[in-house]
Amino acid sequence: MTSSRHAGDSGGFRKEEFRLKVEDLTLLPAISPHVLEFMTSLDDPAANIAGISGRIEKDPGLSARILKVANSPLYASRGHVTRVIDALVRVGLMTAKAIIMTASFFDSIRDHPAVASLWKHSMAVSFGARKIGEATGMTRLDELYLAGLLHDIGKVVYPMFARESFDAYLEDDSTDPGPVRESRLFGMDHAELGTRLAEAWNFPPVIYHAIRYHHAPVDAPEPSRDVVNAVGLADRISSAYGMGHSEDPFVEGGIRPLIENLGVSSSIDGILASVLGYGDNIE
Amino acid sequence: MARMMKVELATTEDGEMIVQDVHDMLGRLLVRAPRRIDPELKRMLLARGIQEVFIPDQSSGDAEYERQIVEQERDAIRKRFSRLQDTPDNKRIVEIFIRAFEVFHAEKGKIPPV
Ligand SMILES: [Fe+2]
Ligand SMILES: [Fe+2]
Repeated sequence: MTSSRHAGDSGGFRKEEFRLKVEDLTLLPAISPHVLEFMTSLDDPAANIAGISGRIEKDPGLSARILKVANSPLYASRGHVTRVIDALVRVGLMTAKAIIMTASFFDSIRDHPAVASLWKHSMAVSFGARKIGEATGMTRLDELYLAGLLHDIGKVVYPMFARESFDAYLEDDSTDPGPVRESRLFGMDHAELGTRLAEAWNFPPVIYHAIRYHHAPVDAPEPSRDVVNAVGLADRISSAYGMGHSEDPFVEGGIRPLIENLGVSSSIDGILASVLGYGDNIE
Repeated sequence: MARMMKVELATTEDGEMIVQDVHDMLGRLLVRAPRRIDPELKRMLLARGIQEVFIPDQSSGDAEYERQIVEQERDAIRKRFSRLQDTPDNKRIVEIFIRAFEVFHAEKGKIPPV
């Protein structure tokens, strides 16, 4: 049996088995049935916000999450909200869905220190992407927030199904970029993995494009290019300032093209300062 | 090298700064310095058997402490970018990031907390 194991893996990890588990996850996410039911209700075109907020209120954990985001520095200028319904109106249903989905997904493996820091990283990238969107006059800011939140979601799957190999990955000090090492070790990098999940969970193309191409924005399809660039840049900024969990600020083609394509050469200092300020607040 | 002191993790307060990386017994990185202590972090570290951490030695004075933070972050930014190709373009970007941090840190000292 050992012959089919991935060479160099001490935990008996097999790429084929890992792939199957990922397939399962696209069918049935590792979240509670209660949350799943809520997610389905959000996809319902007839969903009404009062009904949804009533459902969220029954779950103190979910309520706290939504309220926390609605009262985060991102929306600080709009005052403090205490009711779930006001929080939902403020962040939007799609963002609420992403927050709940991502948070529940992270919760299933939160005891791993790398996952706890990945959550903070994801929040920082969301914040940064939105700030870049504001600086460049993009209109769909919620998409940017969502794309930022989900961009590294694929990473959560490694400790979930291949903990030992993931720990070995974290210790590996090879100079290859993260995605290259992931493909070598797990057969799939986190961008590919996250894309499969986001597609299966019915997020719109712009979201899974941002996940797919955040380390290679030049390859992104044109309609999603700005969002991908913004997430890519916010990702590099967060990582550079230590809100990056295990990720190095790697991007194919370098950082300058991102700055230039987004047209933020003259506003980059302000964007960097905002992300630094955010980092200070979440610590 | 700026001064720091080893303290018992259990006795540290929220908001205190860990100024040296923390590794577990297997040498795996648990915390990258500088990082402020919060209840979640403290719980996680204690659960992983970490008993002591390094915090700044305040007797060395505030200015010294500030200098230490800026210097460490500057080094840290360079280190985090070390996987980027060492082209003149990337070097310039790294300098922009470092400069923004220095400005941010200096401004922070001047603006009273909200
Ligand atoms: Fe990533
Ligand atoms: Fe990332």
